[in-house]
Amino acid sequence: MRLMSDFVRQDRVRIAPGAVVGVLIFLLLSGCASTWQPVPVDDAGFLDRAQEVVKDGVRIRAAVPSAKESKTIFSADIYGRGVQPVWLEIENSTAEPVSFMPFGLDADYFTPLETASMHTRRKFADEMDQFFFSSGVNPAIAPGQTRSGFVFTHIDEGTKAFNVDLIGEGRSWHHTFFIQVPGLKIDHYDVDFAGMYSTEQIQDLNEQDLISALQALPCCTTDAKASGSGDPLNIAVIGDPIEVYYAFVRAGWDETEVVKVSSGIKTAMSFITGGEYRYSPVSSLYVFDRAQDVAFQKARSNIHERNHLRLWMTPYRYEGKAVWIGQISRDIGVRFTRKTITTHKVDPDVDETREFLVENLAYHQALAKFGYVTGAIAAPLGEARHNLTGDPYITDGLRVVLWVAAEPVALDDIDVANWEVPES
Amino acid sequence: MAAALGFLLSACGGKAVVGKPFEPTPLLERAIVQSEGDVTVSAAIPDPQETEVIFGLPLYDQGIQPVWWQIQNLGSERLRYAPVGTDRTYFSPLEVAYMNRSGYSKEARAVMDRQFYDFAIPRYVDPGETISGFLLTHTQPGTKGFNVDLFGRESSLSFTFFIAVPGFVPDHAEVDFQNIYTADEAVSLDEAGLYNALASAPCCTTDEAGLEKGSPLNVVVAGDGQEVLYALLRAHWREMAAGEQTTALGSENYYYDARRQDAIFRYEGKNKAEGYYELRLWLSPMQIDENPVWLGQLRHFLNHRWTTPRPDPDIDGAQTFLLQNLWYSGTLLKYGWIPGDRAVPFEAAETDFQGSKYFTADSRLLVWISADPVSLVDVNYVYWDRSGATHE
Repeated sequence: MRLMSDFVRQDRVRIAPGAVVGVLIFLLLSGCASTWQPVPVDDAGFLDRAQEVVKDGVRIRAAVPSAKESKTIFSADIYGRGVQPVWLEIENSTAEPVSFMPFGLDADYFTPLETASMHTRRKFADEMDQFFFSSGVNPAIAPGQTRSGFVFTHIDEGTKAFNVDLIGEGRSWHHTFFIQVPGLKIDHYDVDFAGMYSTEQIQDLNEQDLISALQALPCCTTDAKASGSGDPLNIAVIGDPIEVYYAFVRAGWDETEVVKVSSGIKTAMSFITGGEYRYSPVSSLYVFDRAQDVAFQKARSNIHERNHLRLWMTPYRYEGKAVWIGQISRDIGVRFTRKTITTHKVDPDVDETREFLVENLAYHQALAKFGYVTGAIAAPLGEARHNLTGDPYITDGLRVVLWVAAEPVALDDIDVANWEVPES
Repeated sequence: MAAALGFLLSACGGKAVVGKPFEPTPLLERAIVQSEGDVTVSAAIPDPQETEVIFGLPLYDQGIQPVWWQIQNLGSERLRYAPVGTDRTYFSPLEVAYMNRSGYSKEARAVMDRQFYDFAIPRYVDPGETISGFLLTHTQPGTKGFNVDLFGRESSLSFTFFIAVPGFVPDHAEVDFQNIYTADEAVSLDEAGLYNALASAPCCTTDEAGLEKGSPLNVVVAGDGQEVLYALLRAHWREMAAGEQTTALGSENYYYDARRQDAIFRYEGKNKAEGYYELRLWLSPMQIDENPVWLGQLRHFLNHRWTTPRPDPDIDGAQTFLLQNLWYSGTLLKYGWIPGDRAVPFEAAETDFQGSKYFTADSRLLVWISADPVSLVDVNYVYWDRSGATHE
């Protein structure tokens, strides 16, 4: 069982980062160079945030340096070119060789030399190639061996969710890490979910009461003054905050940055260029007289085409888990409005977006069960209703109820509640 | 599928929407049909001209490729079709109508919305029902491989289709595979024999004259031609059109056995601006388990913002990528490494006749392709000792 062509390969280039630094210091002192000065991984500080898991004779330790820390380690702004290094240490205490599969972490991972080539300065080209090449994690891990190094992946700010897959002889190891990466101020980090409702306010419901309660929730979001009728509340989620968070992040949804000056600039730039700023703050919509507790978004090819969803925690609990009401919509472009100058055009077919969410969570093994209740107001094509910014929407008026799962659930194991049935 | 629409709307200074009644017969006639149990799925892809006739819009020019199918459910439970199984970022019907709204009157836009909405494949197919319609996917040149996944309460079904888009001629379609080798030249081998034959096969491709050394033949694929094609498509490799300029270095060809490659495949990630992998394959006279053996030259190319892509010198890294790529797509039956004795170290990279640098530990990756899906843990590893004896 070998993923690499030759076990000898691992030892072909081992340049101690310290040696590189030494050479650079010498060059610096002799007045020849000053611009490329990588530092050893242990000195970069980010390993303090490492997470570790031990399963069946294999230990995996993982950490993700921030943009700033990566710049220190590699002496190059690698986040600036869309690359996020993930550091792994894998110890194989089994009696068989084990292969780590970077493809499972990011199917489009960058190779070390590819990453180096994005930053190469002619004067240091060879040293940089060697440094990046020797920084890569060697995927073939012999019995008793420990290996460490980086996989060069695409960037996920906020929380990075990734799988580490190892294959042994006739068996495999899979673990999903959720690692917070410093750098963004994420909306839901400051929300006190546990203290949101008092003990008296919380209501534990049985199945029939849950259906009735979900049906009785407002049809739509409102503005800050609790007036107007906005987007339909077309999703409900059942799961504790950590499960909601794991499920959506696992399914490729990005967290949302709170509004501040720098995020405003980032959003404005991507608005102008159509570029991808995946954590863009979203406007507030209101339910229970408050703005959403958490918003997730899933970028498609550019900022004008993305899916947005907002969730509000309700005082209801079902089988001990929190019940959330929410809204999902898909941006399909930009249009001009009198009120806000520009806004995103929303796909009027909100049911299509709702069903996309069901399948998206299911294919990412983040859905345990789903069903439908009434509660929104039906509006067929040709008789569209309109949200607060005047966008039309059509819907069958159903809400999908999603039981999210923190642990993976296979597609075949998803349960369906025998409630309302969508027509098409 | 809603009733076909026929309309001609022209209003108040807007462009006219011209839609002809949709006639599914031509698609149905050439549809590829698959059945599993009580469910039958027929699938076809309209070419750019047909698409323009059906939708009244040049959707291919916008990167949108409609896929049409019909699903017949003679079973006893309602089935749900999941579009994300076909294309993770499919276009929604009203999204495409919105993309094309410019210049049309309000009335014409409403007609266009209705048309796209009604042409879409429904999500649910009830027992005894037959549904049909389009999913708007991203354009894929060449043969398109896609899944139709159906879920019921009790069961789930998955159909995989490979459909060549009319008008596309891949490079390998111009190769007369039957006559490359005579019956006398074909060699049938067992695993030990294959090991020995590969150990003495040429290390590298050459230039046309056979004088200058090209890049290493670092990959060997065992499998029937069609199965190899389907496996690569399933793993998201794409075919190259006959005559298409293929490499970062231009249209130069590499040669093995005095002929240029029989086929080139390219793997581009989700972001096409990033690097890509390129696999050139040649049919060899060798056979194992009655399957042909293909020799391959695999390279990774680095994209640069300001210059043309250039080859990544780490050719072993490309092997590791291909191995995982086939492994995760469930098309890898078994694999092994055949060590060579021409290692080229990082510090002393060699340059091929195209001026492309490489370094390698010099082991060939040998992969056996499976027509049936293989789970991650069922892939076999074949280890050859130096005598060529194998241990699985």
